Amino acid sequence: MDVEQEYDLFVIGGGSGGLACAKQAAKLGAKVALADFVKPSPLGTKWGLGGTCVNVGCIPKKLMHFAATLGELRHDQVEAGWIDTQVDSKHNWEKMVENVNNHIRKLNFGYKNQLLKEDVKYYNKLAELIDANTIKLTDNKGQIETVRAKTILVAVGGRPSYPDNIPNIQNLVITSDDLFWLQENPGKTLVIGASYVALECGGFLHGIGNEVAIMVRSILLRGFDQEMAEKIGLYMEEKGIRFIKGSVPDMIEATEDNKRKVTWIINGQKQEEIFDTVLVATGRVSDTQKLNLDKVGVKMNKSGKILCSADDKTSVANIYAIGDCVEGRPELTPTAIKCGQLLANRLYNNSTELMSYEFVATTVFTPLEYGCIGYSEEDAIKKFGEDKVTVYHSIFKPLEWNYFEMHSGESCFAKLIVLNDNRRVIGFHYLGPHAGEVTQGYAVAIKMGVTKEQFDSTVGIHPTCSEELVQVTAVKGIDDAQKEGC
Amino acid sequence: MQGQVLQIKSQAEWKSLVLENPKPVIVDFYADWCGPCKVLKPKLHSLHEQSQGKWELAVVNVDIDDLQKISGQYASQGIPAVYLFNKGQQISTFLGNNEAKAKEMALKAATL
Repeated sequence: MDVEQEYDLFVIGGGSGGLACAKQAAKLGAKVALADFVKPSPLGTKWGLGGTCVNVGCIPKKLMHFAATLGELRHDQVEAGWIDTQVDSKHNWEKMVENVNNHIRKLNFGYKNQLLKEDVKYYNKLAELIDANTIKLTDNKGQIETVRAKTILVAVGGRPSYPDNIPNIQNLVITSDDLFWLQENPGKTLVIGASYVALECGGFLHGIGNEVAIMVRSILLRGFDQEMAEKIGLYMEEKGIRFIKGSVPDMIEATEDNKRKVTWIINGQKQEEIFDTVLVATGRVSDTQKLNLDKVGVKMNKSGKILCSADDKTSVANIYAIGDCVEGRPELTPTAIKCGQLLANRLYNNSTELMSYEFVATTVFTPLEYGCIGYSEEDAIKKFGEDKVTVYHSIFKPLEWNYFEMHSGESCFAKLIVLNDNRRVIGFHYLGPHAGEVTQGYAVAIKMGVTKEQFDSTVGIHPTCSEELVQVTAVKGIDDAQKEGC
Repeated sequence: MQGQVLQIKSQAEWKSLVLENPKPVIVDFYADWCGPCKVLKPKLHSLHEQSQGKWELAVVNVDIDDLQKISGQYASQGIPAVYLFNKGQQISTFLGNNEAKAKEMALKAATL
């Protein structure tokens, strides 16, 4: 094998983390290369540079969620006085997907340009480690090239996982890898899973007019505050999304007209139903299997996630790993980006700053959105003790919801978890419209150690939903969450 | 040949058909996923048809792998990115679906 190129840093994976680290390292003067290659999904879906977020995650998800919320606003439009709004007009899936896909391709192009501009060599090839300094690159025609690097960064992220109890499942169902590139409306859809992926996708599919059922094994949004998770589920049910609870599919088969017959068991009884599409969103698995990491000595846990120390080092001295493929990291784009940038700073600019995962704000874009920062109620009680925390809660109704009478007055909810001894707000939970926009600013305060009293002394912006957070006085266990009167 | 649009597909074609073209060449960097590109395209075609063979029209699809370096150089600010070349030199450029600038460029090309 003729080895021609040698780099300071070779990044495997052109997603949120990989791209951020590569660009930053190049800015700091390192000679950098990046390899990104998308293995097609079992159904053949593939995409360009940018990783999960850009191509099959955050970006298309948010655009489709937005499309669904626009549909829901038609009723409000009528009551706000607009003439000729058709509340039951149909949705054109193909038009939405074309626009979403075009935007993604524009982002793919932008990332390619950024790498070119920063002088990062981009290989659209599948990388595999030969040893701790040598990478084998295979292109889509099978041609092989070998390069060497002083430091290697593994940032390969993950891919959707499939339940293992159903034969041929990979050819019978779609995942989020396929949903955002589907050229036809998926129709009547069964979503299997209780993750935010399952709820977000089930949510917007219903919002654009599809019949949706969501099959969940036990609880919703494991790891998130469960009071909030239940309210999210309740809101979705009230909207008309059917939840099949306490079940997993027993069998999935293709029918003669290419629909899907799904069988499951509830209370010992067999149930079956025909769906146009089955979307599996039961989890994601680290994409490390074909990298040859074992042979090189990089330690992973049982599910293939790489074991790293706080400074992103693996068990091999010159190999680092960041993002979704690492054990214990939140599967989020902004943390991968920041982690990548800080790693580059440490490698090439003598920085010592490590990534902090404390009080990272996030938002779930379910039909009623949920933004949160810090501890769930359960985690706070578990860590500090029930008598050491106070929970403030409030039910509220957005002013704009008063045009259309069918809006609920009890769905929106806010909660603050406060540590008694220093009055610090350690948990922030907001369920309501524009949750991402509402939550972001509070993350700054919480990272700075804001207290409940500082919250209370802050004047609210009126009329907004966000002001609820600086006015909440009801204590859970003592007061009702609902205000009476204005 | 009047009316024929040059589809640049390789670095070699960029060199021979654009840089080494005896006539002035207006080059349109575009992509299939770009909305404004689709609107500008027929305008450029129509200007070319009216030019009576005084200049050539070339198009570069920025998604073509072999042309990555060239597209990266000329289309890094966005697309549609349109350039007027004469004897290998860049004379002028404009960005976006700008009919007025396209007309101006076509007039300039006819006088070179």
